[in-house]
Amino acid sequence: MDEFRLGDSDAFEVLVTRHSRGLYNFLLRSVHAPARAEELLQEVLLRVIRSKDRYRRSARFTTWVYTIARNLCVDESRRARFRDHESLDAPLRRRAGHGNAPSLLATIPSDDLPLELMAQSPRLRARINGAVLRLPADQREVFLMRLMAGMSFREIGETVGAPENTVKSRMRYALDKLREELADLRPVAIGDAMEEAAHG
Amino acid sequence: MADLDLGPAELDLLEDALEDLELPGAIDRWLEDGTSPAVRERLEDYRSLLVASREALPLEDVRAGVLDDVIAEANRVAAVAPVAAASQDSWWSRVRRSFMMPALALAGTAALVLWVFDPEDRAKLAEPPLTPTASAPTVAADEAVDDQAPEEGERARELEPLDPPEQSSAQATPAAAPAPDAPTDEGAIDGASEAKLAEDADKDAKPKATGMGSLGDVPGGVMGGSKTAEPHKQAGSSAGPASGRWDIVARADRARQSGDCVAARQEYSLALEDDDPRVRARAFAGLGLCDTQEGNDPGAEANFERARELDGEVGGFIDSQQQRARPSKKRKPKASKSKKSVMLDDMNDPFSP
Repeated sequence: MDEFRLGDSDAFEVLVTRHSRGLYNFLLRSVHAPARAEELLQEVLLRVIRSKDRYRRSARFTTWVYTIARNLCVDESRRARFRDHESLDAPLRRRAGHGNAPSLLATIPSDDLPLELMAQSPRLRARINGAVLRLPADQREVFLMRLMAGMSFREIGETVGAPENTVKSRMRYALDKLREELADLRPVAIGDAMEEAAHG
Repeated sequence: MADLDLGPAELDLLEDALEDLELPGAIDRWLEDGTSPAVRERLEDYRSLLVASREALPLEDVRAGVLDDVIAEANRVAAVAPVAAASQDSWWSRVRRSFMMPALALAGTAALVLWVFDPEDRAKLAEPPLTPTASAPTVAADEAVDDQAPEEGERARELEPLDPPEQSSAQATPAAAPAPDAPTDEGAIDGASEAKLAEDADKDAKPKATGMGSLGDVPGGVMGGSKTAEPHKQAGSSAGPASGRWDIVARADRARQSGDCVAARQEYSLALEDDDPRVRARAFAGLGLCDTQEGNDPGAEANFERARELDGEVGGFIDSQQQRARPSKKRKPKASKSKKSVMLDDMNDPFSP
């Protein structure tokens, strides 16, 4: 980051290579839409570029950039509450001469479908996706930062502004909730499901 | 599923173990002998969930081209960054520029001022006049001397307080450029006119005390300015070399006049070490005046006597000081009035004999 501030554009590409994947997946699992996750990823990196002079070396870059990403996710979730949600099953508005249009459900790519409608997805994946989706926001962000970005609990704490012990507790609560949701799947069953997923 | 079956220590253990739970053998490392089976079971469930979650939520790659515009923007910004960075200093540079340079400049200026001004001069400049009358002759003398050539300024200032009015006027008259009128106005110079010149020069320079005289630093004569006899006597005297003790005498006089005889005595004691008998005479006079203030009349008389032995002219100073103090002493005659009132009271007192 310091090199980028001094004018080394290659240094920024190194940062992008190192962090973009984790950032994208964190955003993807937070907003549940690839297109929107891409837009947010671009926004995060643009903000990094614009704020490069304000970056303080005392703070880790990981903490800094995920703070930006997290704030964007929070804004996104607030906006989503007020967004009009069309029924996925309702037919699209007819255009003149086009007859009955298919439902929105049929036009959404499979990755963007709600968990219940991912008919072709492995059972476990679907269950876990749904369980993660239903986690409280503070637990979900800790869970995703741990899984997607590989951040330590200390880094997560710095990002979300909570003590490390609090972050560990949230992670434990998240795992307990997942455990409850998947209680019918004993570890053996989970292992079988994983094998099933691995072998198609 | 509830945590009711686990104690706080076990819950802490669960949370601490989350740090590296997915690593091989982590559970065995965290668990000790005697750890409850419930903790082990919980840790194993956590580990399975984490592993399954990673499988269920694989890391997706960023689609190609999504970040091309971002990289382009970064390149553009980086191209202008070196120019901006050159002008952007670190906080230390800013602090240094904002504070250290002005501080150094201020320190240098202060050092220059201290070097230019002699400590004695600063002390004299810093001496505030106690009263207009007290300060008038000194200031007048100083101002007269200030008008001399700058290189003589210091010496003149040292000389001035030592001189009787006539001497100071003799010195000041040629030097006092702002008061050139005195000699020309006065015409021929003789003993009497010299005295008048001295008084006029002082008047011109600064308003000064009336005949009751000032308490100032100029020895004798200014206070004796009301008495023309003394200026006569001093007319022909030559100004002696400046002594540094006159400023001490001046400080002592100011202390005495402000009521601090303790400080005044200390200063007078220092002045007693001077070689100039006039300085010592003034010091003794000042000590005597302190004695007078404190009601020690015998001591005062003794000091006055010593003073007069050293310098016959100091009597005028003593008299003027005593006259100045006389209003308070003049209150004593009120006692006589009060005696009258006492007599009246006695007369009216039915019990008086």
